[in-house]
Amino acid sequence: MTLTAGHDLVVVANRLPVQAPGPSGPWGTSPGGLVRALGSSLPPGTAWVGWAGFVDVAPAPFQHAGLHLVPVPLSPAEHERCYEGFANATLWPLFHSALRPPEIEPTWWDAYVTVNQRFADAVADVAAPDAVVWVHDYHLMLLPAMLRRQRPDVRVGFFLHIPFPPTELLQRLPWREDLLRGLLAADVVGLQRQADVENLTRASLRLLDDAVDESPWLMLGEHAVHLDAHPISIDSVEFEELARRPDIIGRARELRAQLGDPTTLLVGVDRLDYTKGIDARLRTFGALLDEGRLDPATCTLVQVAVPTRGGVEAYANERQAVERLVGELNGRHSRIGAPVVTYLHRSLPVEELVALYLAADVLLVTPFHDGMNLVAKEFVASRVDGRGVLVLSEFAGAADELHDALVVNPFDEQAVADAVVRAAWMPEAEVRARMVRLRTVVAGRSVGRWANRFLGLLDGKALARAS
Amino acid sequence: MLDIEIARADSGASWRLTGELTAAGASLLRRATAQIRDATPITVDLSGVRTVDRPGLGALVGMLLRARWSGAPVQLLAPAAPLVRLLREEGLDRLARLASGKAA
Repeated sequence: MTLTAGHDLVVVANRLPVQAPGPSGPWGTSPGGLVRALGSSLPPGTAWVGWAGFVDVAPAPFQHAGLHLVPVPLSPAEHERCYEGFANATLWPLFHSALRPPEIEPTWWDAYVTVNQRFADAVADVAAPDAVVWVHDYHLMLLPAMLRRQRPDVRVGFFLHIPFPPTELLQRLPWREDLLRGLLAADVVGLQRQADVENLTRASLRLLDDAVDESPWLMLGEHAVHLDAHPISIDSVEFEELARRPDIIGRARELRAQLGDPTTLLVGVDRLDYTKGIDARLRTFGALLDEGRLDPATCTLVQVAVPTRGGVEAYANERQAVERLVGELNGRHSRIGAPVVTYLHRSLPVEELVALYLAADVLLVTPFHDGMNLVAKEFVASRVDGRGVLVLSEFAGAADELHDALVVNPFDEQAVADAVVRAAWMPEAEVRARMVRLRTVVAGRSVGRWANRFLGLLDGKALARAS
Repeated sequence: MLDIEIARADSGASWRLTGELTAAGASLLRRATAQIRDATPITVDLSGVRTVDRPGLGALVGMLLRARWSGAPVQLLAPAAPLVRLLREEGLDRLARLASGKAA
């Protein structure tokens, strides 16, 4: 292969940071997720390799917002077997405490290998000599080793956005060693929590004969990979600025008025994923209404459930279960024109989201397992008024940082119920004191700093100059 | 670029690293590491190293582990305070003795 000038920084993720109504565009920046996380942290001229979102057709590389975008094609069968299959019906549940049984299907694994190799080929073509390549998430765990074989000169960082499972779960995977060796060929592997680092280290020592722990390094033969926790954050300034806009403050008041000016407005904002615990949250809310601990005349819940992975059976089942619960709760407790649960199955523009955060008295973030959960941080960043209570699952990565939330065990529905009641009746002074401390934490750990720190691990200029 | 000079004497081996201990130089250091086969003490002079990154440090960790498994004590000479601090932060002081000053 002949190297062209290439790009000094290449980001690789399952999806490109853009979306369009069709493969010929027009392209707009995708809302949310990794795009929002990285935002303006990437220098101009960065290449981004990913799938454009359309099967069977891949646009030619193009420029967008200062980035060089390199679409990777996927066939319908590869999308079904690799993305919906191995990534989201095998790895996703396996890495989230097996909340649904991970499905083991060899043809899915084959597709995962094929697609990872295609991504590696695309990166190898666009990376400049000695480039930094930043690989994101569980869709591409084989890519570091594949790229290392083709381009030993590049520096490879990998960030896993989801939890890393305990060895006993990873062991279920027939291809567990291939997966570990694929990942650990990186120079740096970042994970959300220290617990994830410990799980990855233990799994490597147990399952790979040549692994040696020299924390923060893990040795595989002569290759050393640096493992560390790098909890991701948000652009808190963006949310603060939105929350100070008069139109958004007005919209927050309007939302409360539309909901009947409740005494207590509970809010949940989640992807409609079985890991998020939406169904359990609804049951808990229903039990509180049944028991009279919350009054349906003065307390209401808004649940935003962002559509996701509709092609995976477990997600379709989850949607059915959630929507049945919403119907039951409203049937049991609502008055005409005043539902106790307002359910939105769609994503909201960020302005509307911030208005909802501002309108809320209590935000419920109660996943059964979650790598980080940025909604919790967005809520805190948005509460420039110093109000609002966060109820947060201890199984969300954010719980490691947001100690002034009401931290709960989502598997203990009684404890969650008690926390919701406590949040609803929390004295104003305590609400404000907790929010001040939460805001200090979120403001001090921006996503820009997170990205710079991670990239700094791979960039000699940012690391150390001895002279 | 990274240069590695290796001088052997009865009392031990002296390695002098000069340039950039980065991804590009890591493979060179790994090849040099393959030469460690016995318990001969090694002094690694890092005073000529201008820049370090994680892949470069990773290769150095590999070298120190190979030496440890061979029974060879290693002393790292790193006169610049930032580099000494970095080596400590990365746990390399558990694998080798750190010392300021240049090799004789």
